[in-house]
Amino acid sequence: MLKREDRPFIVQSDSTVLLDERHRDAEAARQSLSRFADLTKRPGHVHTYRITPLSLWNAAVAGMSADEVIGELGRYNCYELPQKVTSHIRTLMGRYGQLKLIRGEDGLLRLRGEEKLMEQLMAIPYLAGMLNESGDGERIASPEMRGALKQELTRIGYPVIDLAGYRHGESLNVQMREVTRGGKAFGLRDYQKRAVDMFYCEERMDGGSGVLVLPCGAGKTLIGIGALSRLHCDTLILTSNVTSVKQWRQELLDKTTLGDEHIGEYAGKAKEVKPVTIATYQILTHRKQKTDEFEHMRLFNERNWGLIIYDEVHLLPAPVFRMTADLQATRRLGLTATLVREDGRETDVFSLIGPKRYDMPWKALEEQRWIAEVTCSEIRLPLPDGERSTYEEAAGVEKLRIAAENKAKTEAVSRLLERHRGKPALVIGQYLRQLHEIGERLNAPVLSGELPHAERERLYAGFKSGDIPVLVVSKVANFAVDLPDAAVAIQVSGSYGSRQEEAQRIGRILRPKTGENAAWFYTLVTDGTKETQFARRRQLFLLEQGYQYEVTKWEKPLLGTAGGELEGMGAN
Amino acid sequence: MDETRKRIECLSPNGRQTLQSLMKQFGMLPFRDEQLLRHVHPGCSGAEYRLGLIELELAGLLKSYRKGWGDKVFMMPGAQFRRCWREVYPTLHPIAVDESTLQFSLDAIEEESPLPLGERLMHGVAELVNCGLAQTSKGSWPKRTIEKVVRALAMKEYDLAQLKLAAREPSCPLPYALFLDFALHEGWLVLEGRDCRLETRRLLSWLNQTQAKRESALVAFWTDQYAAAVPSLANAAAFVFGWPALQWCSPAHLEERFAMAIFDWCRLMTSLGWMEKAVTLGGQHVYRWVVDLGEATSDSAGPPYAQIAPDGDVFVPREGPQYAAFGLELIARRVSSDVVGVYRLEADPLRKAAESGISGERIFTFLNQINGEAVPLALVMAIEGWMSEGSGEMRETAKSRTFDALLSKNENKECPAPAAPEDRPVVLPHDTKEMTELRPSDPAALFQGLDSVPVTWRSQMRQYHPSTRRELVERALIWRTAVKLNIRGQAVPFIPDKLVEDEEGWRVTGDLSLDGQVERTLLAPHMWDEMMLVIPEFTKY
Repeated sequence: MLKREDRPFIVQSDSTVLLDERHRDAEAARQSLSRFADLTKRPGHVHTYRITPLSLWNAAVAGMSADEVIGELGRYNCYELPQKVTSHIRTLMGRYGQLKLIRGEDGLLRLRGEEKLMEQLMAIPYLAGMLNESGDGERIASPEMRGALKQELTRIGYPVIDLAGYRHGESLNVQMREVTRGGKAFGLRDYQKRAVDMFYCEERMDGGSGVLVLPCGAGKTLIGIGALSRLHCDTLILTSNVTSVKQWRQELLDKTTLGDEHIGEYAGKAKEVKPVTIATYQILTHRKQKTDEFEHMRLFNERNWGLIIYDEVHLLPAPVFRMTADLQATRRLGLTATLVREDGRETDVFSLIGPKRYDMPWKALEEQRWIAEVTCSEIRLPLPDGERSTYEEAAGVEKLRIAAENKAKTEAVSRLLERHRGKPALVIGQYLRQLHEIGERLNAPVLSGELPHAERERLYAGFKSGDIPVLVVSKVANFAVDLPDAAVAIQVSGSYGSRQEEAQRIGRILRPKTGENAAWFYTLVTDGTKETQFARRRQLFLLEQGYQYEVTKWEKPLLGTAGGELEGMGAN
Repeated sequence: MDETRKRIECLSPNGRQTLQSLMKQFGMLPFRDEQLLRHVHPGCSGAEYRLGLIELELAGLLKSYRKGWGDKVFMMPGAQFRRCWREVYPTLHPIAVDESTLQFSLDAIEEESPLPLGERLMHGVAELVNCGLAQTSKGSWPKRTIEKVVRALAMKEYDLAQLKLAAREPSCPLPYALFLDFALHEGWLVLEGRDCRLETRRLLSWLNQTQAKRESALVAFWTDQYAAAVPSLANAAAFVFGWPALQWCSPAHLEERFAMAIFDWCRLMTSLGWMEKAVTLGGQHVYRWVVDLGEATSDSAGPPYAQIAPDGDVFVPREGPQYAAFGLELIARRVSSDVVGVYRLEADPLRKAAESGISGERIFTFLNQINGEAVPLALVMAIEGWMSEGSGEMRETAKSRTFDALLSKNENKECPAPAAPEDRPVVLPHDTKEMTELRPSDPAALFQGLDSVPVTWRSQMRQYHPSTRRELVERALIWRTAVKLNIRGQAVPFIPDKLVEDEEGWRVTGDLSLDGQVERTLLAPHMWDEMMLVIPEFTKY
């Protein structure tokens, strides 16, 4: 409430930080904040960060002290720091380091800390059930309790430094190539090397497990491969879908010395277990009946894994968390573009996978031209008169379908592609009939779930090589598809799903381009319909991520007449 | 030099002593002189105190009143009390506590930080407007209105209980009465029979001050008005008012009763969002102001008053004018109130605004005004869409009228002072509404019959017959003044307070000052030799 200084951010008493990106010291402040706060959203000029227990513990892992954090906040804050915030920081960071988990010579785990704290913990029945008395300031647990113990302690606000070490796993002779199998020179980018280093933390006993946070398009797959190559051990890779499994396989073969005989796919019809095995979360959590066991979870015990990679760890299903609790002696690497989970289980990621070891800001990647600069546009189209009355008479999901399948969209797609002629483009939608119509109009192939994997692979290859300039894709494009050269994405209808799906759609066009390093993401929305509500939700998500977002009205007359242009294209 | 300080510096030692005593005993409460004379400082006479009261009146530090045919009462106005306190106790300070000696607990951290009261009052007014500003046919406030406003005020009954105040209307919760009291005092609300009108100009004038000015004025108002009913609290409040901002302070070294009152007051100030509490490693409670109570002279800033983000968030810095925040209270959802207030423009509140008769055009005018630049197009389209989902019926409501008045920004900086309400919603002990202010008494009136006593009685030490001695003592009792007695060759002051008679004759009790000590004594007439009446000199201010 007191005197305001001319500084870049304001710390609220609920530990939110509001950073004004226009301030001359904003970049320095941002770099400081990224060490101990999580970026929540960045629409417009005011970016919102949150200082949470997890973000503070991650800072503590990285060696920051409470005084340092408070000092940094004080340096850039406009006002006096709220006492609640300084108390929050001191108390929470003070807890990091109070508990350590060590492996004794007898193989049992020893939880060590001040005896007073131990007594407090033993008063909690669930914890008391896992721990046995030992000496002053020490309690014993069986190795199987390692994950569950850490999980529970973190949940009640006491993070544990896990010094119990890892088993190496089966050795694997693997190196990264300097020239890919495809004949191109290859090496990890600086930030990718740094991410691997931060994960490995050779000099620290608590290193070797954790989560790396990098934006879509930053090359998380390569970072995973870098970690695998550093550790030289059998590795289990878990990812979100079959196409992603293929992508991992492809990259492993292309960028490492591994051969087909070393890589197994455990998804769909294939059930290969090899030194490097790639599986989906879906297969692991598959069971015929709800009462059945998860029969494929035995994959975790099939080999002496030295490393488990959790691709898109923000999607980790609950049963896999449970299994992971029993695998604490194995190194674990989580890869994600966002630590925010729809189910709020970030603390479980922290305790069971590991702390955040690296967080690469999206903006920095863009500035260094590692990802393309994306412009997002929403184009509002009128519903032709003939379809309007049908829309008004319809109800529920039928209304959405009519709005989504607005025939004016086909014309708009054609015009937009004309504008970006020569650039590889994706047209994404939900309704197959519409997609086929568009495919026919553009003379472009349609990639949908109906197609077998092999056919999908053929179309991807054609798109990558440039033989296919425009690809029309259905929901399958939501998944981790690697299409490095897409510069334009036009969304004609959405599944209106979670934020992650939106991030992934953008991610499809974020790869850096040679020449003009720019990309365009269009969403076509029928004005005056329920589609605009979903459009707003999408808009909010993209704005929060910091994307430039424009809304324009399509002024073309109704179908069948000539002329018409996209009016009002430009900044807001 | 401060006017109050000048006046106090010119007081006689007697006047100063009287001031200290009455402040300690009565705070801001009205009192009769007889009540004060029960607490005369040992060694001081009642006459001296009475003269002291007249001196204080003439100095303008005290006023006297009479209610109807009742007794004359004295009273110190609230703000005057607070200003005098600083000058009367210049060396009394709290102990400054270093932050490094404080301990923090997670439970304390998780408690909600109370919003400063000024913010809550604004929310309360917005709720009142949203509820339509209407009273019932019986002239009372609807239950729903009271509930909503009281919820916005978030005042704890437990902390208010120490004030020993009551609403004038028995069924009215005290927080609501306090809210109305301030709103009527400031002139935002004008009650005209059963109608209530919002005087937007005055409200805007208040809102457009800096936060520091608003909150510090509120602290002063509460200190001067609401601490009145309990003298110890009044003294505590005046003392705490002088603490420096942002410095942790402890009153633990002070006299226990006073320290307890200070802790009570600080607890209330904390609950009203003006102070913060902490605990030392030794377990002691300490407090600090988060409001600067100094003379906040900075003018409020001009537009932009807020920042509108493309996703619909609106950021309103609290230290600046709250014109934007108040308007947003009527058309947006409040996300958080903090150092920066955050509002969200979204479907539900905008639909309700449309249904209350606020047009989209007016909303865009307002948003462009507060933002200082055009609202992002994407957001404009979203707002248009949401508002079109409203009922579409344009009508005039209290809310739409208030919003229109807000837009015309017809704040008149020269607003005439608001008229005092008929009856204050809160019953205050120092309410002088039904009293008549009196002029200071003539000092001579304290010594009625002075001319009829021999001059020698008051001019020189003499031996007197026991019966004459008795007469002198009786005069001293009537005039509440002292006598000087020659006891074993030493002239000592004696303040008689009671004459007792028994088979041994008459004696007198009173305070005897001997060698700097004051002792309660029972004297018989043969126990002194010479004597004289002591008529205190009156020091005219």
